[in-house]
Amino acid sequence: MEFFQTPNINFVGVARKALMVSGAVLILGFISMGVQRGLKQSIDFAGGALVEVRTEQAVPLQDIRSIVASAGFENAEVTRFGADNEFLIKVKSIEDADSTAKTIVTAIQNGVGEQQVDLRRIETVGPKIGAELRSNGVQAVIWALIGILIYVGWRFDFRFAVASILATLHDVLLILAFFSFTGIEMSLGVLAAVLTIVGYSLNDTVVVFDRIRENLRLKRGSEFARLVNTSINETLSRTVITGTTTLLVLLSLIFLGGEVIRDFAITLFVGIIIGTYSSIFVAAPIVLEWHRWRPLRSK
Amino acid sequence: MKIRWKIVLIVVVLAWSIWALFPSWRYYSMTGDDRARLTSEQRDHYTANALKLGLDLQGGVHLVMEVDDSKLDENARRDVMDRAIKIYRNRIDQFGVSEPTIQQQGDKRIIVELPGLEDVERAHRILGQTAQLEFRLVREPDEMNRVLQALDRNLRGVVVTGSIVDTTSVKAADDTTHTHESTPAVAAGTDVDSLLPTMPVGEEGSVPLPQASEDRPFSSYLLTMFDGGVVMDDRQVDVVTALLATEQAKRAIPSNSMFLWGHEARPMQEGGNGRILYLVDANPTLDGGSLVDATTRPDPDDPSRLNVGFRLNRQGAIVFSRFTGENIGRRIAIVLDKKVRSAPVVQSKIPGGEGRITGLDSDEEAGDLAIVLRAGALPAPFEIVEERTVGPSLGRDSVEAGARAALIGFILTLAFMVFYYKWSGALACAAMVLNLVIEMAILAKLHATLTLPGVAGLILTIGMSVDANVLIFERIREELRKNKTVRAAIEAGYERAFNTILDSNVTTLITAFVLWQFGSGPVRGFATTLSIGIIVSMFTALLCTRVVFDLITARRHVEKLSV
Repeated sequence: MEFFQTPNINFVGVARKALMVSGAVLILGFISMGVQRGLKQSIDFAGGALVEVRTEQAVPLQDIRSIVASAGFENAEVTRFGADNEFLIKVKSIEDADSTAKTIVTAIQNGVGEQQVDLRRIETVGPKIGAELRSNGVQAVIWALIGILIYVGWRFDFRFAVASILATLHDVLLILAFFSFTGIEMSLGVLAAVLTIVGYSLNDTVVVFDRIRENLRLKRGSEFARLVNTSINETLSRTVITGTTTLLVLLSLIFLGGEVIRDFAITLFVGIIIGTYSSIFVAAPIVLEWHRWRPLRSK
Repeated sequence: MKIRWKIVLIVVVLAWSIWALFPSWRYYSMTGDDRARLTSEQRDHYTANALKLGLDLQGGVHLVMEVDDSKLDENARRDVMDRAIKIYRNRIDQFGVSEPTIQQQGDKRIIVELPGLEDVERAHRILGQTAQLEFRLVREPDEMNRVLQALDRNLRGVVVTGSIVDTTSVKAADDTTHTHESTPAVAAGTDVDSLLPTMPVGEEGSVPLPQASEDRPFSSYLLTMFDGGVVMDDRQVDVVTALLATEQAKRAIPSNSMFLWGHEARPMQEGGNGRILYLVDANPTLDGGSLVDATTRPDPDDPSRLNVGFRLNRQGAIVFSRFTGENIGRRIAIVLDKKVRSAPVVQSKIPGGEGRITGLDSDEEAGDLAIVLRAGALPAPFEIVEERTVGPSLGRDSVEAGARAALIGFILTLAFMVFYYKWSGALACAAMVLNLVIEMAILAKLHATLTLPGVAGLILTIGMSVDANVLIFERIREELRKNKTVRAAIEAGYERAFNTILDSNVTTLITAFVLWQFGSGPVRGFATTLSIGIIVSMFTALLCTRVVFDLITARRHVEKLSV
């Protein structure tokens, strides 16, 4: 079986249009983030309390909401978590997360009558820890990018390194825009997913760059734009197949992996699509544009 | 390397992996009853060698505690963490949790993990208490009156603002002679009443709150006298604490005395709950350092309840004996973590150095208090700054869901790979299974803990480990299109793909390393499995599949490759 025998798609030709589409989505994302005053943050970063409970029988969501509200937490977020009898209660940005969790648990236990309440999960994060985790997260992304800049710069060429970083940055920003559109909360798990996407997207980009590097050696003298386009086409099959297998696994994780890691899996799913797109339509074209501005001397 | 040696290497690695995973397989296929029948030696063997499941998969409590060493001197600060860890270990050992983890994080934090524990309340009781036991002389009522009058004089016109903090927290009832972070600041123009928590309407037994009057800004909060102290409405503990923390109030309190709250609210005859505020000697007569033993024993007044009896060492007993002899008819406050447990009247000289703590809510609480007292007081107060508790049912569900997702993910990938690359696709999937087995074996041998994000990392490795083989197969196809022989195509395919695989894997490893460096608990688990998976995939995808291709082409001339 083969999807692409000898593909010859003019990727480079539509690259500028693709860049404009990316730019437009990014701007929309920034507007959305601006309107919502940044991204929603989970208690990992905002500090607060999270309680997950399971009751024996289904309870109307409204009942749990009013139980939590009458316990003194009117601004708590109460949502169903997977099933009719599972609930997630979050209270953010509070000083005393510990006693908050305790109060909520007791209120629900008393509020739902005779039935057994199964305490599935309690998490409390103090405000100081939250701030630390947040700064660690930002640092992690920055250091990952610096590490990659150095490695790709050493293995390839400085402009390839810059292009791959820009493409990666593009992916991260698009993912953030996606969070803003969908209301997915930034949490530790989601952050791990973002960093994984950084790795994956680079992986893809490096495969394409590697082919460009090889073709530069093999096909000296041919037009650079054509060479880039050929390289993308030659690696297209691999890009699509690897992407597909990874997405298949993630689909299984999204639908079967359970509620707790769903946001994580969804982030990865979208990120891998974005990462694949960017290595074709963003990373390689940047190298090409740079070359048009200042030609690359082949080593 | 000769192909024979490659095969030997693969067989050795596989055998090692199976050997490394054997205890895990045995342990996790046991039922609860089987495990209960294990001797302690056998259990130690399994816990040391079986793959450890994280708290998010087996349930348990994860706590991060931070020391408040602001009141310690330089010397004490140096070994405060070591001492605290020793004491925590002591407490947890007596508490009886299997396989607890206690480790220091940074300079000021301790992480405690208690697998299998469900009762958060108990974890708090065991770990959240400083267990600082003190005996302090309670000031006589006329002394209390003088201080109250001085407070009223000094606090006239003073208004406090601040947030309402939970009255049961240590903060609110903290040593009032020291200003604390959470102490509300003094500001003009805000009414005290705005601080008061709103009362639920129509709640049974609700009583009106006393209002602060202008000429008696402090004592107007006072409801009655009891047990050698004054009683305040429990809902006004924060306001009173805030008032006592003001400079004006501190000037009214003699330096040899201090206010301490009772440890819990008590229902009052008039309705509502009251908290007792004691005026005690600022210098404790004795502290917990002289305590040698603490045990639970039935309350002599109410045998259905338990007290905690304690015994002092010889020197402590002498001090206690002299102290009680000199103060017959007066009250001594038994203070635990800056809260007064009780303030009994000394009836006679107590020579034996024994005493008891009363007023415990349950037998369990009494037992836990005995444990923390026996283990000794922490050298400084610790605050719980992060807590993650997972119930066993969620852990079980997560394991099941993770396993199901992995299985379906594998089947989907296998189907797709066989569809696209035929037999070679199946080979790539076999390499992937080998990858998983080796990776799990390495995790078990590293004593790493498998967390839920770790499982996600494993599942992701399934998808990504195929990538190396995809790169190789694509190259082989390309070479075959150039009409190379099967053998030459395989040779060139592996060789040319190698650089790409190396570069792309190193970049992923860089991010995994950064994740590990900056991430905490769960994120680290993910980074660990991801990086091990990538490294192992270099072995399985490059070496193992190559051996199979070489075996196929070595014996006879192959015309067509199933790729």
